Amino acid sequence: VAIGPRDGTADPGLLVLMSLAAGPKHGYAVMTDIESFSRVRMGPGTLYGALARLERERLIEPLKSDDRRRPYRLTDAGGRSLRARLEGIGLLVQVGRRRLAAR
Amino acid sequence: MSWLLRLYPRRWRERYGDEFAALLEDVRPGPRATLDVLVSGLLAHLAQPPGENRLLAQRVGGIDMDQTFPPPPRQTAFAAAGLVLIVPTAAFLTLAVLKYWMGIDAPFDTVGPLFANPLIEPLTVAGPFLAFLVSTWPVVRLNIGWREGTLSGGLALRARPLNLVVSAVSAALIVVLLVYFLIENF
Repeated sequence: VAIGPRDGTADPGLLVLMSLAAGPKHGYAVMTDIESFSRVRMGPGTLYGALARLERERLIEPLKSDDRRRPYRLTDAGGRSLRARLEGIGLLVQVGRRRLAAR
Repeated sequence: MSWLLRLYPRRWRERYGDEFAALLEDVRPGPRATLDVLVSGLLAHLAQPPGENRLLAQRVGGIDMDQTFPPPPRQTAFAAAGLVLIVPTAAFLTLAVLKYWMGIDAPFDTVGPLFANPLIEPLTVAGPFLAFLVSTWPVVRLNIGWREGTLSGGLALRARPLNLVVSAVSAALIVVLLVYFLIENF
């Protein structure tokens, strides 16, 4: 999967939700995970901008940690939001593929 | 790289500063990541939580309402300006009540000619309307714009007591002026 920086699916919030769907992670782990599955090298500022926004929207939540590297996990609302967004993207993909096949 | 943290809002640093500093230690940002941190720091000022604002609706007329918008600026200054604008009308009405309802003529007879001044007279009539606008504008704020390809916006109510008092007094003065106008002309 190659996701370009101008691709709508490269929305930092969506990528963070996808990363946390696999389990709780701290910032650096989220960053490397996103790079591994999307080839998007997210900047630290962009990552924390997305984390702060998602936490404010209660789509993710921080876990207790003795370390400065605080892990985050997906909330139930975050899971529902991710599922809805992926279904929307899936619908677009289906339509796009059908139209390309009809050419 | 910790100096980059100073670009972020204080509240943001208090919440995320330690873990963000730890991430910067792990990443050791190059020029591109440094620029990303710089830009994100500035954007964080715009995306601060609205604080005491109250979100009135999640969705209005098909527009997704977003809570991340800057709080209305200079509310106290607007309220103070509104307060100054209603002074002539409030003074005029108070003196008129003293004279025509309570029979105390002296204050109105002494100061009354001032209200015929070409500068003060229009302000006496328009003051409450202007005061209502300038004191209410920062209290109720609607932000609408394009964000990530969709139309989104925020509706905020920042209930500063001074703004609300000036708005309420202005509205009351507007009603009194309209009633006075109707009685005089119809």
